[in-house]
This record gives sequence, structure tokens and C-alpha cells, in this order.
Amino acid sequence: MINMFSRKIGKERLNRVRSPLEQAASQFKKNKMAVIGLVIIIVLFAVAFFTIIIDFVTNDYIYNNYVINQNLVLRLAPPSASHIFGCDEFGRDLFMRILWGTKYSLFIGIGAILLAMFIGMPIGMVAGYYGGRTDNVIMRLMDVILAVPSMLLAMAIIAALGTSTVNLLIAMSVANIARFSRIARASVMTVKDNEFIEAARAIGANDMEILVKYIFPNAFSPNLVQFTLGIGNSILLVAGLSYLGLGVQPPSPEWGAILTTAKTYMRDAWHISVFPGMFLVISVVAFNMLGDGLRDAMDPKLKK
Amino acid sequence: MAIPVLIGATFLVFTIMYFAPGDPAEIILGSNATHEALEALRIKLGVNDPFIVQYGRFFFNLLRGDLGISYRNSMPVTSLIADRLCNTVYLAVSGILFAVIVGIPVGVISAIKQYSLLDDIIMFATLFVTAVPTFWLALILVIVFSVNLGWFPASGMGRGASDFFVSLILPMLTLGCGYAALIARTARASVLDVKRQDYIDTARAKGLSENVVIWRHMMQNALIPIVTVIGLNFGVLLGGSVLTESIFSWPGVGRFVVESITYKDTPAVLGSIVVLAILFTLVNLLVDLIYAVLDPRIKSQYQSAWKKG
Amino acid sequence: MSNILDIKELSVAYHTEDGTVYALNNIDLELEDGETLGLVGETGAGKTTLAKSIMRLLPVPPAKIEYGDIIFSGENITDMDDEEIRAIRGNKISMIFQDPMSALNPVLTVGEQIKEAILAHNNISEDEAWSKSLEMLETVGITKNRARDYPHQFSGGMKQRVVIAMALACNPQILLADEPTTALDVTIQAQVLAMMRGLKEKFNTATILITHDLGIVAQMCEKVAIIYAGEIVEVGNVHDIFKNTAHPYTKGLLEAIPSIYADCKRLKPIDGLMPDPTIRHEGCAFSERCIYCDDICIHNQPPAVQSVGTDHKVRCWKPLCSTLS
Repeated sequence: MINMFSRKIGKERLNRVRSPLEQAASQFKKNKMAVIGLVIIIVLFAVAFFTIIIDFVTNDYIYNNYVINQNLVLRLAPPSASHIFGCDEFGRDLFMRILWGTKYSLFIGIGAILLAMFIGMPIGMVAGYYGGRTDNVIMRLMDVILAVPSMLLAMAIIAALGTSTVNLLIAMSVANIARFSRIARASVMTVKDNEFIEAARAIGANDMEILVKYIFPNAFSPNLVQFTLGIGNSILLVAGLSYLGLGVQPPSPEWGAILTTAKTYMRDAWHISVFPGMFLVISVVAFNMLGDGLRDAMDPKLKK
Repeated sequence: MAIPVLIGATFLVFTIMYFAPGDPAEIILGSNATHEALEALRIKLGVNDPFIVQYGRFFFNLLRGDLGISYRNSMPVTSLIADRLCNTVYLAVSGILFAVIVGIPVGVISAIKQYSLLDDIIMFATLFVTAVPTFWLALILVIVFSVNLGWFPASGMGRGASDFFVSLILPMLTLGCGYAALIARTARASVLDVKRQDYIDTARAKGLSENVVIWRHMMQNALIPIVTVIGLNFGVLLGGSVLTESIFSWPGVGRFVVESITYKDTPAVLGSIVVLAILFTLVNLLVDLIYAVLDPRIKSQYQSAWKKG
Repeated sequence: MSNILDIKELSVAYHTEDGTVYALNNIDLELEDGETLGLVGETGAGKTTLAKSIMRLLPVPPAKIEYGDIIFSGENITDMDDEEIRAIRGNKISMIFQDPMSALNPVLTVGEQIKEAILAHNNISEDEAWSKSLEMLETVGITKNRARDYPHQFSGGMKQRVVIAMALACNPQILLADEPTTALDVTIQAQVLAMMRGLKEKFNTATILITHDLGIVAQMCEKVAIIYAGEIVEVGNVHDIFKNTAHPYTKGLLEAIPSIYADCKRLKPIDGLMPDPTIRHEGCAFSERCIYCDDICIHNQPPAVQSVGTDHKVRCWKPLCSTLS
């Protein structure tokens, strides 16, 4: 009697219900730019790993003889068949230097923001979850950090601690820690008062469990987007600091560092200015396209 | 509100710079000075005092406008910064003006013509522009417009009205382009978001012309997030000015910071960063005020918070 | 009594990247002067699309009026240009939307928003328009001194009153009310509906009341049209629809309402879902879910609405009650 109206729905009229991950993946594929971005990033990673492996296998032979060796005969040589990007003021082949410079931008750029996320997210989650005094204190601290323009903050930290890779990572993360914590806190606060949290408490989950199993997954996705979009800025920050001599030190061929002396020679050697910068732009664009794609794929509101 | 945060920021920067290497006495007197002279100077400078005392001294001096003495040339840091602050402000303001005048219309047009070819082109262009490093853009602009075309000077700030403006163009473009692209994207997203709100349908249903709908109903609402972004990213602009000023040898505070770091002139670095942080905070306060003007919901919040005391 | 609105064979489709959505198929609808017509249907049936089509508020690149005519007061407004249709919007035909929380512009005062509607269609001074807007506020039960307040300072029910005031400010001949009380809680709903009844008597505005709540229909409407999958499947006066139900879908809807009197252990929904609007179906749109379904139903479109009584039409091969059978 109750199933009086039931008929076979058949003809698979309903689209098969896809899991959120499948939906996100197909949306992502539709976004061609994001795929191009991903391809470029894979290539960059390949180059970086390639250079690391070569250095390891040849015991820095290539590095010493092709990347940092000086050959003043070729000083400022313009692009040619044997040196496709030309040579810098010390006669070093620019193409090789740029290839070997990939790993700095990539790993320091990503590393700094990863570090910031790992520290910032828990801080924000704790602040959002416990609220009250804890929240106030933590957020005031974050506000203080963000009151200083992040480039200047990074510069100050490096001025104080010195120019090593570790210090560079620390200097670059501090401001981002504050940003991630804000985002995490905001998402936690939207979820915290939902009833399923109360339900979890009712079945006896303790604070730590609630934070990890329920709150974290909700806080994660806005942070993920911030992460990918932040990589681009991170890479630019490394380059900027290295350009000023505060980041990766010469003779390491970090792309920004290569550009430090470019201005002095710009009248005669435009190639030193142009090529490293191009690689920076391409890398950052790739990460931004990926970030945009991820964000569009994950945001249900943007589905037409 | 903002004051404790600012005080905290001075504390933060002070603490960081406290760890800067280098003995101030040696830097000033040179390493050939006698042990006694160095020690006497150290006591005079107060660098042997406990941390808190040093911070306290710094803070009270700050309140009086005294930022200490530069290690490099023994001049008061305050006057060194004051000479340069205007230049940074001119550059920053022109950068913002450029970014707003170019960015907002571009973003709005992109949103109104969503899905068209123009929209796609604009989106792609802004994607690229935000990826360009400031210092590289400066280099390219100089190579093209200074070295090759000779239209603009490659460095320095011109004296006299017309020279000044001519020399301002390239730095302004360098600083403003990335900002403009960011503003364009935000404007586009904001207008798109407002466009699909119910009250836009209501406005059309009242029979208002499309122009009135766009300018009266959409824009005032769309401006709110745009203003936020402008304010939040002013700090990035200040960071960018460090690089821009360095490349163009523009005599501003940004370039001063870089020089001071190179010369290990800690008071100068400390003073400059604190001043720029204050500037940043002031701009954010200004943004909050503009916010309250644009959005009556925020105005209500402020008013009720004010009444509570 | 003449028809103030006559919709003939209206068909509307949305052309999107993912396919074409046939939102309205061959809609025939008549509205008499001063009459209140209830338009009932499930979510996605096409009610809002129909209302927006009348006002030409559909986003025109994806949406398109494929076929049909909309005749208002004897004039064919389907192909009117922008300027002409704007003279009608808010002035002769008004629309109010479902969610009062977002229907008002948050940065303008309520008085200002009503005044704007008045000034758009009347050549009077700003002061006159302002006092008229204050009058409208009073008519809907909001004191004049709240005219300079912003929407966020009002509750949901009061916001909806403002929206109604705005819609009626120019004394339109037709009011399209798209689920005006769905977003409000029940007690406020009752108040707003009572107010609307009072206004209807005062202004004699013809109304199309879109809702999925048959209870509201019973209270407020003289005539009812049932819409399913973009088609009008039954239309008639409120008595016939409730007592002499002709279409199986309508019957299903009525049976799905739990009775306050009878002992009800389980609710009786209509199983299944509306058909995929991107596929043009061969036979009757309701055939998949209909218990009386026959071969003829699956393969042939039911004839365009046939009469089963005075002013009672249905679109079905096997109507449940009929003066024909």
C-alpha cells in the first residue's frame, strides 16, 4: 500500500551520485589552465630533482665546472647556439645556472609555506575551538605579527639571525603562520557550534579527538587553497630576499640572486635580466593556476 | 584597539633586532679603538643594560619621536627617516592611485562581460601580472623604456615638478601593476558575487535602468571587499617599495632599510621598520573608517561598540 | 471579467555548456483582473522561471523564450524592447522574491528603496516620492520613523513587508509573489498573509501566488494551477482542485499532506523524482511516477489541457474526475 507510487525509476534518469572527490576531480580536469599549471609544476620538480641527483651522482662535478666556474673569456656573452641563454658577468652559462637554481625557488618556497601551515593551522584551530581568553591572546599575537609588513619582518629576522637557509625559512614563515592561523580559526568557528560537534561530545569524544576527527577536515580545505596560492608569493619572496642579498647567497644560482647584478649590466647584457625572471613568472603562474583550479573545484558555490 | 597591537609590534621588532650581531661600540669607533673606550661607549649607549630596560628606553624615546642614533653616521635616525618618508609616501600613493584607477574598472568590466573573450583575456593577463616579481618588472621596464627608448630616467628622483613626475612614472608602474592586477581580480569576484544577489533582481524588478542597477546597487556593495583587499595588501605594497626603491635608487625609507641592513646599522633598521609598521596600521585604520562609511551594517556595529564604552 | 494576463504556449529553455534545460513546455495560463491565482509545484518545476519570464527577468544569454506569447492587458509583451519592459516592471507588474533576508540592498535605507521604485515610474518631486514611500510603509504596518533605517535593522517578517510595500508602491495591476512566506516562521507567515489579504482587498491587485504549500493556497486563492516538470497539469477554481481533483499528481500532493485529524503512522509521499529537464520526454511527464500509468501515457503527450468541468482543465489521458468520462 505504501509503495503504491513506486515504479522503477530506470533508464538511469538520475546521474550516478559521485563522491565529492570524484566531482572535484572532474571539475578540475575541465579547467584546462589548472592542468597546464600542474604539468609545468611537474616539469619544474623534475628539473629540480634531476639537478640534485646529478650533483649527488657526479659528486658536484657538473656543479663546480659548469654552474659556478668562472670563464672570463665568455663574460657577458649573448645567447648563442652553445649557450642558449648567454653567459653572465663571470662567463658562467646562464642556462645551466637557471636549471640549477630551480631547486631553491621550489623547495624553499614550498618549504617555507608548508612550515607555516603546519604551525599556523594548529594554532588557529586551538584558538577557534577554545575561544575566550586563549583565543584573544593568540589572535592578538597574530595581529602583532601581521602589523609589520611581511617583507620587512623577514628582512629584520634575517638581519638579526644571519643568512642561512634555516633562517631564511624561519623568516619567511612567520607572517604566513599568522595568516594560516586566522583562516583555520575562522573555519573552526563556523563549524564549532554545529550540532554534530555536540553529538560527538555526547558520545564521549574528548577535545583532542574532536579537534582531529571533526574540526580538522573542515578547516583543511580553505587552508589548502591558501597554501597553493601562497606558494607563488613564497617563491617571489625568496627571490626578492635573494635579490637583496638577504636570501640564498652567491654563488648559488637562485633565480633572484642571479638578478642581483643584472641591473649593473643591463645595457650590455639584457639576457641576464630577462631569462631568470621569465622562469620565476612561469613558476608562479603555474602555481597560481593550480591554486585557482583547486579552489574552483572545491567550492560548490561556483558550480554553474 | 589598534594601539596595543602597534605597541606589541614595536616590541616584536625590537626583540628581533636585539639579536642582531655586531657590537655597536665597535661599529662606531672602529675595531682599533681601545678596550676602555669601547666599554665606555657601550655604557653610554646603554647596550649592557638588561633587555627590558633597553626596550623601555626605546619605547619612551619612540613616544617622544626619538628613534636613536645611527651607527653609520651618528645622525639621529628620526631625521634620517623623516627626510625619506615623504618620498616613500609619494611613491606608495601614486602606486595605489594607479592600481585603483586601472584595476577597478578593468575588474568591473570583466565581471559585467563575464564569459566573453574580453573576460578571459583579462583574467589571464591578471594571472600573469600577479606572478611577476616586482624587481624583475622594474628591470624590464628600465631596459625597455630607459635604455632602449630613453623616455624615462633609469634611476633617481627628479628635482623640480616635471622632472619629479617623469622620474616617478617607472617606479609607479612597477609598484602599481601587481597591485592593479590584484585589485582587478578582487573587483571582478566582488561584482560577480553581488551580481547574483537577490536584491539585484529586486532592483531590476522595480523597473530601474541597467545603469542605475550597476552604479547605485552593485557598486557600493561591491566596493566593500575591494576596499578590504586594498587595505590588507598595503603591507605588501610597502614590501614592494623596498625592492622598487632599491632598483630605482629612489631615496625613500625602503631603500634606507636595505642600506642599513648592509651596514649593520641596527637603530636605523629598527626605526625604519617601526615607522613603516605605524604607517601600515594607520592605513588599516583608514580602511576601517571607509568601511563604516560604505557599509551601514558595520557602522551599526561600531556605534553599538562605542556606546558600550 | 477580462483577462489581465494571458500566457499562450510559452516555452522557455536554458542553453548551458552542460546541455539544454527545457524549463517550461507549452504553458497556457490565464489570470483575470483582481483574481488571486495559486501556482503550485515542487522545487524545480518551473514556477520561478515562469514568473521571471513574465517580467522578462530571465538572464538572457542562457535563457531564451523559445516560443509563445505573453499578453498583458491586451498587449503582447513577449518581444518588447528593454525600455518598454522596464516601464512595466515595478509599475504595472511587480514581483516579490522568496528570501526577504537578501531581497533588500543592505546599503540603502528602506525608505530610499521604496522611493526609488516610485520615482522610476512617476514624474514627481523627490519629496513627494518620499512621503508616498512613508505612506506605503504605514500601509504594511511599519511606522514612518523607521524609513531611515537599514534592512539589517529589521526582522525577517518586517523585511518582507518592506518588500511588499516596494512592490505595491506604484499600484501595479499584477503582483507576482514567489513563495513570499516560505522563508518566514509560521506565526509571522500568518501575519504576512493576513496583511496580503487586506492589501488585496484594498488595491484589488491580481496576484499570482507561487507556493508549494497547499494550505496557503486554500486560504488565499480563488484559482489554482498545478505545475509539474515545466507544464501546467491542472488548473481550476480552488474548490474543484481540492474536492474534484482531476490529475493524479495533484491527488498525490493532497494525499501527501498529513491530516491533523486522522491517525497517521507514515507519510505518503509521491515516490520518485521529477524527470530530467534536459531530456525531452516522449509521453506524459508524470508517467514514471503515476500509478494509473498506461501505454498511451508513456508514448503520447496528453492533449493540451482539456476541460473537465467549468473552468477546470487538466492535462491527462485518464483524469480522475471528468464530465467527459
